[in-house]
Amino acid sequence: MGPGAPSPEPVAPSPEPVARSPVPRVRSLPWAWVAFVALAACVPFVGSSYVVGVAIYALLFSILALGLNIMTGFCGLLDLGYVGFYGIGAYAAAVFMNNFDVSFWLALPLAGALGALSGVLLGVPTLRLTGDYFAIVTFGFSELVILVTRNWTSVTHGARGFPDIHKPSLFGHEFLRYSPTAFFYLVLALFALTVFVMYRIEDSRLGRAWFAIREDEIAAESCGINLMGYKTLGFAIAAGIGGLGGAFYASFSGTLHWTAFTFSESVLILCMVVMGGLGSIPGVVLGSCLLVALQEGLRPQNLAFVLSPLGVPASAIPGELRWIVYGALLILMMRWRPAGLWPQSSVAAELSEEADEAE
Amino acid sequence: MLAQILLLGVTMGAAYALIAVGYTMVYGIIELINFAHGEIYMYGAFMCLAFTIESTPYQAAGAGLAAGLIVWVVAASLLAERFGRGAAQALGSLAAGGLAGLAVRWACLVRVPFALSFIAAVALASMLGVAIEIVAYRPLRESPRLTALITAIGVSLVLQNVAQVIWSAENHTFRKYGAHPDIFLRRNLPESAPFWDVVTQGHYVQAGPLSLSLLQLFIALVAFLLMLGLHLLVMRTKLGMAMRACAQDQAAARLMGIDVNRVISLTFALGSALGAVAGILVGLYRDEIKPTMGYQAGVFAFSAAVLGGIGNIPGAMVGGLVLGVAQSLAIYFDLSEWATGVAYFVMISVIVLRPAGLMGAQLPRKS
Repeated sequence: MGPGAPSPEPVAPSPEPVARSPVPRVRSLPWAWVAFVALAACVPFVGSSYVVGVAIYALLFSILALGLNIMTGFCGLLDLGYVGFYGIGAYAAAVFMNNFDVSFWLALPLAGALGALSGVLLGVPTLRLTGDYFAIVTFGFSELVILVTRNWTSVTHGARGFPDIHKPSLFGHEFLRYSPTAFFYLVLALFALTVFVMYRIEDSRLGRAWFAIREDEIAAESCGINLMGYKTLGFAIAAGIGGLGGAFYASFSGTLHWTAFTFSESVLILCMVVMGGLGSIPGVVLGSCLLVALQEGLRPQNLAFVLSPLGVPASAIPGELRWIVYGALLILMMRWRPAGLWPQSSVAAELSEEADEAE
Repeated sequence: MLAQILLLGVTMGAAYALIAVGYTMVYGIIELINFAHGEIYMYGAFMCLAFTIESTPYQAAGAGLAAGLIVWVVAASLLAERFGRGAAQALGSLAAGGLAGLAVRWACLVRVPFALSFIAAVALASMLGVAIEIVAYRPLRESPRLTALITAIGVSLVLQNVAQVIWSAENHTFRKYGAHPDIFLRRNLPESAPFWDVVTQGHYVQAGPLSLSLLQLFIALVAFLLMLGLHLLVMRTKLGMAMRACAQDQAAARLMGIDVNRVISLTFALGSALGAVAGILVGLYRDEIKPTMGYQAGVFAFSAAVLGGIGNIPGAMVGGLVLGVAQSLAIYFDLSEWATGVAYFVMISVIVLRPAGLMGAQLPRKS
């Protein structure tokens, strides 16, 4: 609003209701994010290709976690099968690019659209369900997606994996598989776009409607919020982001195998959202980066780097360690910090409120 | 052939029903999908195997440590409930856990008769269920349900991977170690006999064209008797009445003088014991014991519970049988790659179309 414009309505006489409202005005942190992206953009200049590869996964999983955050953080619906949309997007992009010779730049939005469409198709009959039932249905959905990718051999190449997926090319230069830098900037751009969209949504009418649904469905409905419409829209956007992430993954990894889309990946993404803070955009990104870093740190060969000088042989470090740590993290976070490391203020308020009610 | 395959379905269905009961009982009483239930099923099978065979020192130490921890948690909670918290109670529970751990380690190192292993494994698995409830779920009883569900997933993740660290991801079988109870096997079967031969050529009863193996008969019988016992327990005894009261309204149950924590613990103990029995029987029947077995079986059993109407014990039995038969039909029609999909498909359609299940009355929504 310009300085010459008539002054807005006087500020509400008492600041009290504003402070206590369930959805406080979300302050976006544009400069912090610009700095984050700018710093991240320097990674290829200072890091080895291993570090760049890890950074790509951190950003990719941040995108996925931000997508899941729409469902689980914003709308309060536990989605245990988010990886299903990721898988659909990945296989769709692979099929578009390899079987129909579609360029990556077209396959990417197509995969996103297909993800969103599958979200709508799954959402319309199931979003009426509440809580556990919705979680279980989404879980079943992702298992069905795996089953299809394993058994629809003529399209997905089944258990052998989808080979030699085309790389994107820009101005005639194909992205090279062994130089991840180009992929890094691609995923960084997608990440920046996702974060921007998230902030725009969070502060919009749509975001407010989701928060209202999360806090109290009945109250939201009686305020005139179309529950099914907003929930389906949320599911479609979340699934679309999953599809986009999948398309990127397909092109980046060059091969697809159903083991990349199992339930444990869904749990991993959920773990990122929960650890960072349900509904909190910076929290979710923090959680994703931390867990990807943890995943690398807990690889036996990397852990041996630290433990060998202490006299622990590398062979004594079990590969399952990271899953035990993830599981323990889920349990500990739920017990002592259910709102996450960087909580969204309204979630923290809600959790403490419910605890008060229960007393 | 169709009849033979249906028989396979009924056998597996009986096992699913046993597991499904655990889900249904826990859901009925605290409205939590106990994701870790499949892991208890797996743990029961592994402990029975570990007792029956001579384990390696590493496996015995791991199993002993795990069992010691479980007993310690349960003992600490029991002692604290009865005598309050104090140094003596803390030392007592530590001693109980330590002794139990040493005993389990020793039992893993020697060969224990199958029947004894069976009982000990079921007891330990039942205590594991109670310990999980005490450590992970009890502190969250007043939290939003999402919190408890995520915790349950975490518990399942930890248990499955700890089992993998102790026993490795490979497939263990009773037969591999020569520990398959003789009564279920014909001795002259070669080591490499295919699974189907083992099932059909063990001691069996010929009923017309059907050959019914002793193990199948045993599974069906055990499942039926346990379910009947459970049904009677829930409907006819004081404990069962307390369970039903807690399922309806915990606050009111507490006012009636029911010790809600104790009832919930006993519910977990019962459900876990039944799950462990199923784990051992299926481990024998399919000749397959591995850390991931609980995940798959858990999903099938949960689908069975949903199919029968969650919270409904006879429903779980019917649901298990229907699901087992449906899967065996998928195998009969040469769709065995899709057999696992049947469970998911059934589960999704029931939840969407008839959430109360085949036999369930609509549960009153709490909170």
